[in-house]
Amino acid sequence: MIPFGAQSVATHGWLLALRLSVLELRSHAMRTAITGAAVLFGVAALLAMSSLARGMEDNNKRLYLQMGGAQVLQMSAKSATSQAEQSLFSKSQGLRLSDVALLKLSVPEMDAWVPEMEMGRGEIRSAMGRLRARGTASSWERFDVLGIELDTSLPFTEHAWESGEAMAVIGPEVAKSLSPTESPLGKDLIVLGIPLRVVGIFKTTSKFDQRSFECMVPLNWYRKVQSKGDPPLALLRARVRSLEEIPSARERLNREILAIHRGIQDVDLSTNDDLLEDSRKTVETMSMVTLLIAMVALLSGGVGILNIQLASLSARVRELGVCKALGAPSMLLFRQMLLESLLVSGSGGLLGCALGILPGLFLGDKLPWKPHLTVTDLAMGVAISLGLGTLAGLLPAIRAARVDAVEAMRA
Amino acid sequence: MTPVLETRQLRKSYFLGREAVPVLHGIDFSLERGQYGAIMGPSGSGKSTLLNILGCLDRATSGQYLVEGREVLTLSENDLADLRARAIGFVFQSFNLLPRLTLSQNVELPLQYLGISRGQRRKMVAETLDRLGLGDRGHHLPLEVSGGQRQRAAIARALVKKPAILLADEPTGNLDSTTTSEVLELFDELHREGNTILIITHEHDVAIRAQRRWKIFDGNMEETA
Repeated sequence: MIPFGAQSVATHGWLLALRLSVLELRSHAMRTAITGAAVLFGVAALLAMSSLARGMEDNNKRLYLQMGGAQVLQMSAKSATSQAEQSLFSKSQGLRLSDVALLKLSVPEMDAWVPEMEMGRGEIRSAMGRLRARGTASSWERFDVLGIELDTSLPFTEHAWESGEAMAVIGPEVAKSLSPTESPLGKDLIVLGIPLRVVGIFKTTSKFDQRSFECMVPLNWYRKVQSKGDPPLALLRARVRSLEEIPSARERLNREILAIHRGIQDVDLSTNDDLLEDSRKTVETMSMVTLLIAMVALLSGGVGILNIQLASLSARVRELGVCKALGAPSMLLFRQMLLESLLVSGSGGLLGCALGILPGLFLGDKLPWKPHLTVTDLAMGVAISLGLGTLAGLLPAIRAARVDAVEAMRA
Repeated sequence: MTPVLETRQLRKSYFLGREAVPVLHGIDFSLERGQYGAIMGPSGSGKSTLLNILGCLDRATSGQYLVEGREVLTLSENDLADLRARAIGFVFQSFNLLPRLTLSQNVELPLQYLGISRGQRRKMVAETLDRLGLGDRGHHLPLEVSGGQRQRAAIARALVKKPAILLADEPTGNLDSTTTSEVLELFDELHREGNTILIITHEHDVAIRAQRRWKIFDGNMEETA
């Protein structure tokens, strides 16, 4: 007889339980695969959604910086939401270029002003025909305030831009349609029937970058061509000298606009932080909804494991009784049953992680933002699946440990 | 010399509600090392209850039960499992081999519970299967071999850890007459080799081969000639 006091099951129990669990799962490969698939899809859905949300969040931060960051305030003409407002706004001229000169004098906290006019659809053409482009006419300061970088450019000066020379800076997608085979620099764009020389191409991160399809021309050139004395502005950006001055600048700006517009609140004033907060809330809501859906999928996976393990326990109760008679301690049966559940959910979780990475790999070029995951996300996916496996495996494991050998062998 | 198994005034009662139903009435019994014993009795006589207690699967209500001089009734569940793993080799009427394991794996299982190294396990399994004439059947599943071979594999599983006692519960109950003879001859051989064997049976032909015999009836046991 092997003497008492030699190595007992307790010291090598987990390893033995693991071996027996693997053996059991392998003997029911199909059942194991189907049960694990539920967790796999749950984790994959969770991670895929998480990667999309993370991509959106990153994109929002990039846009925030592209719009000048925290120190830039934005003003735009307010849309009327009621008949009363419509009638009120008709008495005001809206946001005009002349407002800029007045505001410059009365709001000293600002160190830069960027008026923007939107060009009409179809106004931008090449010699070959229409171009898909979004036209903006703006001042030189836009380059500085929004931190615009150029990928390539011809030499052009602030003076030339501000004096309204016929020139344009375009996005790479506009450049591609203007001159597919060679550099568009120095070539002509036609705006309102007048040729404009391309002097620069915006540096962008992807074709979904808002500047990819943009065509920016000097505000003064556009004004000249349009021959409008005091044209309406699509947007007016103003940069506050310092972060501390934002509240006072905002308050003063609001007051001054109201004064210029004779008490009519027809201009929306917002900071980029407001916009970032709005988009953060949107992403957060979307994340919560998708998280809920993924959790429901995962919960179904857990219930599936619990169901299969309980069915397996019923089918194997006699075997478990025999194992006990042969000397298997209750703890070994507990571990074996729990590990079966953990192996199913854990492998489902790992494969789910692999599947969850795919959107980031294959959808990066097809979406306006690049979905991506962090190591923490992947660890979370595995942890959730293991947690689920533990929860689902606990009840069958306790029941397995409590099997009465005598009763079980009578079954 | 310390007996392998010894019971003193062993009693067992089951409870139907609050009422105790006695099944074993003070059994005194012992089996020495190397002896071959048989307990005979009809259905309902209490022999299965006694087997479960002797196999450490159930506990007596009172009295003493000693395995190699070690008191069993006071052991914890884990210690009982350890005792079963080391000291007791079970042979069941319906073989009770695990259907998804090969004969080799079935025989190896008790050694795994004992934490014996892989190499040592393989060696012990091969030796035991050879000893029982199953050397070339180790890789088969239980369903792929005959009833006699299954019972021999079950005996191999009980023997492989060299237990203090081989406890066989109606070991020929599911076998035809030819295979029954083979298995009983195997028990005779194992006895000659020095193994301690206790068979529980209701068949006189099986019990007659044992060196010592007891009859159990209505929970009382006595040794017969």
